[in-house]
Amino acid sequence: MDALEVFDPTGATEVTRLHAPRLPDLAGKTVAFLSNDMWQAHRMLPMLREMLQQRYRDIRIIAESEFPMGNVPIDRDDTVEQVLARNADAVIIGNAS
Amino acid sequence: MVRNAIAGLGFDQDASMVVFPIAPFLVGGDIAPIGEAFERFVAGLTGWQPRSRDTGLRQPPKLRIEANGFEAALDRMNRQFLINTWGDGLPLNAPSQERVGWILQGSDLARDHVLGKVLPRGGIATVETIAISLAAAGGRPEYLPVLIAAMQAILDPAIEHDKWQATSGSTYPVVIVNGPIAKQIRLNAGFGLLGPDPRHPAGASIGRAIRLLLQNVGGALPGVGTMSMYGGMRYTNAVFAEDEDLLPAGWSTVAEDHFGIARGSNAVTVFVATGASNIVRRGVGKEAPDEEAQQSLARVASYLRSPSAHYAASWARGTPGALLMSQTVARQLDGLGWGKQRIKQFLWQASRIPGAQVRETGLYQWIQAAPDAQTIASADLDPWPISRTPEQLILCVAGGHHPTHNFWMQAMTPQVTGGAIELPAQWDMLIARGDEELGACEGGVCAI
Repeated sequence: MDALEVFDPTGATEVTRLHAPRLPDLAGKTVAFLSNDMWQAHRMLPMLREMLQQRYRDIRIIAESEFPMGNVPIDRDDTVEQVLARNADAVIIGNAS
Repeated sequence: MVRNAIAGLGFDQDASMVVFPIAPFLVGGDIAPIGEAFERFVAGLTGWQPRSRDTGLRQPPKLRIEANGFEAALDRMNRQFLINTWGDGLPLNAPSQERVGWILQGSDLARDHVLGKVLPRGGIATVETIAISLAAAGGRPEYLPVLIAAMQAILDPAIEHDKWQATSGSTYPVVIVNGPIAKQIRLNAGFGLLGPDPRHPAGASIGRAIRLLLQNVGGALPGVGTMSMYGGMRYTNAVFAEDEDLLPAGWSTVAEDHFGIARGSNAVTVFVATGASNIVRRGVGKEAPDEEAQQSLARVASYLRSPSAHYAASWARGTPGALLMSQTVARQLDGLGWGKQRIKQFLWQASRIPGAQVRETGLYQWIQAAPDAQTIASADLDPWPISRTPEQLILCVAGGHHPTHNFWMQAMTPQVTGGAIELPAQWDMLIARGDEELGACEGGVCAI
C-alpha cells in the first residue's frame, strides 16, 4: 500500500470575533436596519419594520434610510459606528442574493 | 454566500439568516413569503445560537491518501479533492511536501508570510498556501513571483475582490505582465495568448492557481460562494505579457501607464474583466491607410460604447477595460500619426454614450446607484463618457503579429492594482534549470 500525503489547499482561517449574544426579547429594544438597496430590499425591509412595530408596541425601529445604503457603503466601518452611535440593540441587514 | 461573508469578517463560518428561494427577490416578485417568515426573523435576533464560541486559528491538517501504487493514490486524491470541492474538474498534481517545497524555491519570503485574507470566506493566503495551489495547478518555481505579485494585487482592498468574488457577474481577474520575466518564464504575449499554448505554459498554470486560490481559500464556489451566473474565463483566468520588444518608439508600457514602473522592470497590472470581444478591425484591404486607421478605431469605439452597468462601478478611479492591440497594428497606426495617447483620447471621445441612450437603457439608474459621489454626479453628462478620463482605458500591445483583429476586455474594476515583482536571490539558477528541463527559448520561440 502506497501513501500520498498532501496539503489541504483551503488554507488556515482565524476566528477573531464572536457573534453577539442574542436578546431575550425584542420588547423595548432598538432594532436598526441596514440595506444594500438591492433585491427588493426597498419593499421587504419596510414590511418587516411594520410587522415588528405591530408586534412590539414599545420597540424602537431605526429605518435603513437613516444610514448609508448600498453594497459598498454598508460595508464601511463608518456605517457600523453610526449604528453603534444610535444605541441599536440588534440589526437586520438585507438583502443578499 | 452569507456564511462566507461572515467568515471574511473574522467570525466563524456561521450566521443568523433567513433564506428564501430567488422568486421574492425579483422585480415585482411576491414578497408575501418574507412576511410569512416573520417569526424566523425574530428568532434570529433572540433564540439563534452560533455553533462556535471560541476564537483562534484553524489550521487544516494534511491529508493522507492510501492506495495500491502511486497512480492509484493520485487518482484517489483527485476524486477526494472533487468531493471536498477543491478541484476544477481537470486533474491536479499532488500538492505534496516535496512538490510544494520545490515551488517555494521561487520566493525568498518565509512560507508562513501572510499576504492577506481571500474574501469573502477569509481564508488566509500565505506564501505556502499560494505555493500549494501553484503546485496543484501544474506550476513551476519560476512562476511563483508572478503569482505572488498577482495575489498581492488581487488582495489590495482598492480592487474590492470581496465584491467581484461574490457577484452574479461573470468576473475574472486579468494579469498583464511587463518586464523580462515574461520571456524568462515562457509567458505568452503573441498568438493565442488567452488560451493554452504548450510553448508558453506559464499563463495557464498561474491563472489556474489563482482560480484555485479564489475558490478554495476565498470560498468562491459556484452557486454557493460566487453567484456568478456564467463564470467567465475561470479555468485559467487571463495571464499574459505585453509584447514589449516591438512597442513603437515613444509608446509606454501598461505598467508605466498605471504605476509609473519603468520599462525593463518586472511588474504586474491586474484588472477584473466581465467579458471579451474579438473585433475585426481592419478593412477589406482596398482602403487608403488613413481611411482604414480611422474606420478601425471608430469600429473599436462602437464596441466600447455599450450601456454597461459595469462602467458605473469603474468610472471614477478604475478602468472601463483593456484593448489588446498587436504590435503589427500598433506600429501601423503609429506610423500614421496615431500615438498611444491619441488613440486613447479618440476611443474615449468616440465611445461616449448619448444621454438619450443612457436613459433609454436604464444605465442612468446604475450611474446614480454608484458608490461614489463623482460617478453619481456624472449621470447627466451628455454624452456620458465610459470613464472619467481617457487615461483610465488600458491599451496593451499584445496578440499575434497580424493586422486583422483587436480584442476588447470590458471591466468591472473600481481600481487597477499591481506593482513590482520580487525575484528570489537564486533566480538565475531557476531560469537556467527551466531552460535545461524545457529547452531554451530563442528568438521568441521556445523549444517546447
